[in-house]
Amino acid sequence: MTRRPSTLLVVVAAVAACIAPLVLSDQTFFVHTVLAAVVVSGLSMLMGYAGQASLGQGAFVAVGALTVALGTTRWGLPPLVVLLLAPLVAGMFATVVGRPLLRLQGHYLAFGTLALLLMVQTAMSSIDALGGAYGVSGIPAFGVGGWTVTDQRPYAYLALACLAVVLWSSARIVDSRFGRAMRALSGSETAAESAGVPVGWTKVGVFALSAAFAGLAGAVTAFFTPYVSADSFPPLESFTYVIMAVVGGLGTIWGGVVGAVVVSVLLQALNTVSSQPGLPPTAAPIIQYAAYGTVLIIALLFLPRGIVPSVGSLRLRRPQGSPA
Amino acid sequence: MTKKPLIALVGVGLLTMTAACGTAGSAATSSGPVKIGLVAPLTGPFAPLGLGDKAAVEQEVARINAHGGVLGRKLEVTIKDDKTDVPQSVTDFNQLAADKSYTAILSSSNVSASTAAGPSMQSNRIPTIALGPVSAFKDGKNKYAFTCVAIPELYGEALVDYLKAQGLTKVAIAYTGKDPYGSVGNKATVDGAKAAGLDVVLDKEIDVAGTDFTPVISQVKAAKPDAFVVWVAGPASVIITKQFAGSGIPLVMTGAEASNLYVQPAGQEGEGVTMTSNIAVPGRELPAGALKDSIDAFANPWLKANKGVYPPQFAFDGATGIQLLVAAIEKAKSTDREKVRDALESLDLLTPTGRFKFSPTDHGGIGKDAIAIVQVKGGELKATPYSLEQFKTNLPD
Repeated sequence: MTRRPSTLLVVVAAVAACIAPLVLSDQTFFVHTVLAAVVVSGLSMLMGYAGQASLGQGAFVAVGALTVALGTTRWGLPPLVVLLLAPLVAGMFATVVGRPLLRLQGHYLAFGTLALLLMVQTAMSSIDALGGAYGVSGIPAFGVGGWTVTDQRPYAYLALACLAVVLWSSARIVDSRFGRAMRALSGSETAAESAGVPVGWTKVGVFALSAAFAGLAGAVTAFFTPYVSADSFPPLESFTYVIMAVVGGLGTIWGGVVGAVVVSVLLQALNTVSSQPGLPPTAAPIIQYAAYGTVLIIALLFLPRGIVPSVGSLRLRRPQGSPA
Repeated sequence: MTKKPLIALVGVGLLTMTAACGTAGSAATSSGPVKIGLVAPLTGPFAPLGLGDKAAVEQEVARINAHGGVLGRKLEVTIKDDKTDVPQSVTDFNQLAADKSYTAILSSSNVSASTAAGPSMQSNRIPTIALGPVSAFKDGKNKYAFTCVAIPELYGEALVDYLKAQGLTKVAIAYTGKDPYGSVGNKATVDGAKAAGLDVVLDKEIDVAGTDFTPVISQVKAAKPDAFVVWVAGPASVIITKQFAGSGIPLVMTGAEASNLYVQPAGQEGEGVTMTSNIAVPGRELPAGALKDSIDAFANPWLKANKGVYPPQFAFDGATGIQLLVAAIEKAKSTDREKVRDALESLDLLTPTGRFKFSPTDHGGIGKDAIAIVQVKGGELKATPYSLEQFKTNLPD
């Protein structure tokens, strides 16, 4: 379950990721994909290791983004401070709401998290202090000290740095005592409890951790697109995170990254196809919805454990010393 | 994960970031095409606005290129669909603005979207003309933001002038509070009505995402006003028109409805609806002169390309936007963003929607005389007798 890719593979992926912003013309797509990977890494941990489902991860992305938006525009906090603060606030928010929410299980928990997202959206659109109907604009560019970002490319590297931190901390956490408790939950809560695992607090802990990752992604999003409103976090985006996690492989460190990249590239390709001359303007959303369904069904039929575990199994089955 | 991959990852990242510092997007050059961005709602509820903008900009770009382009170079416009989604619009705007090869941008006709992109105009130092009526840009405090559509305050004033001239005394208003167009327009109308001695018998915020407006319509009927003014944009205007039909109370809409994309779906129930519009919408009824020539120069090719359908308000707005930017670039004799901004701020240009005179304290550029009051007659938007009278003495040319 926790099989790791080889050092060579990781280095190749890192090199490719670092070169990509230099050669890609569309930084927006790249940044969004990397930030989706940050969110999905947390979600993959929540769903795969702890066996808890969330259809409303966007709520925590929103909390992180709001922390940056309000922190910079209303309270005049430095960008670096709010960037660091955002995952903490999102994690604390998840801790507060997690205690009652995580009493639910399975589908009920999934719907509970979706309801949480809708409540956060409603609060953002109806409370002026949280942006209200017009949202929060005028978020300053990210910067440290006297240096301020004046281009989109540094955001790509900021997003990559966040992803690196998330992957590293995920790996450390999974191997820790808390990680073992967390993994025990996915098998049987009763068995875990009888083994001395504090089930309630472990669930809240992993929920808060995934929320912190989502909050971090939300913080970078708020700097990158300096506008935050309730519409910035549609439920469809949260559903996409789940699809990415399932496609990449739940309960793997790299599954979130692979799922985010595969689904994002697919959607980008479909967007390009649907915007070809001659196709109606409604083609894009129709194709997108169809793609979500198709990808999910194909993944569940042929790669029920997701890409990363399936590829890992193939590597395990291959005899030692056989050619690649 | 071992430490090795992480160290390698961090090392590669730092090296690449160092390289990236020297490869930021290159500025607009003195050769190659002159690049302008357009962000418009081509899908979603405000698609009627964006599609008019897009078609007009494409027609104008083709005309300009056929006449030698700008500064002797080809004019190239990149069009992005913001899907009537404000965050998407800001994202698209930022993407264009971050690319230094773009000289200027025409931002969304969705007021909320253009308003939200305002700070990005400043941070990216890119001259931008909003194709929607953004009141926040009017005073010039945002040095890079301009608007080429009459702001709701002007529409509100023009509307009140008209109502008063018709001898009406009681007005009911419904508006969307989730959009600056509706909320600012409503406030301007209420303030203007009170100043003019009109009685606002009902002032009700409505949710334009809804499909049943009969509760507010019942309240309007009960208030028995002389006119019912509606400040909304998008499909809600058609639904309200259908549900309000037969009430016997004159229905008054605003510039967001000055289009066939409202008139046609409103159908028979839309007949007789009065609305504010830009001066170009009743262009065929204007007296001969420079303004009419400017309108005809855009409208005639449009009529040929669109089976005789007259351009909607949004198409005229799009044409005006691109004409203003091109004139500023020509005046600046450069594609440098700062020089174009400076040129825009001192521009004096006759466009199809009136004469624009921008200044450091006026990034709106036009006055109340650039607004007409039109009425749906026989499926077309025709100038009211009130406006026809105004055209004789008060044209913005």
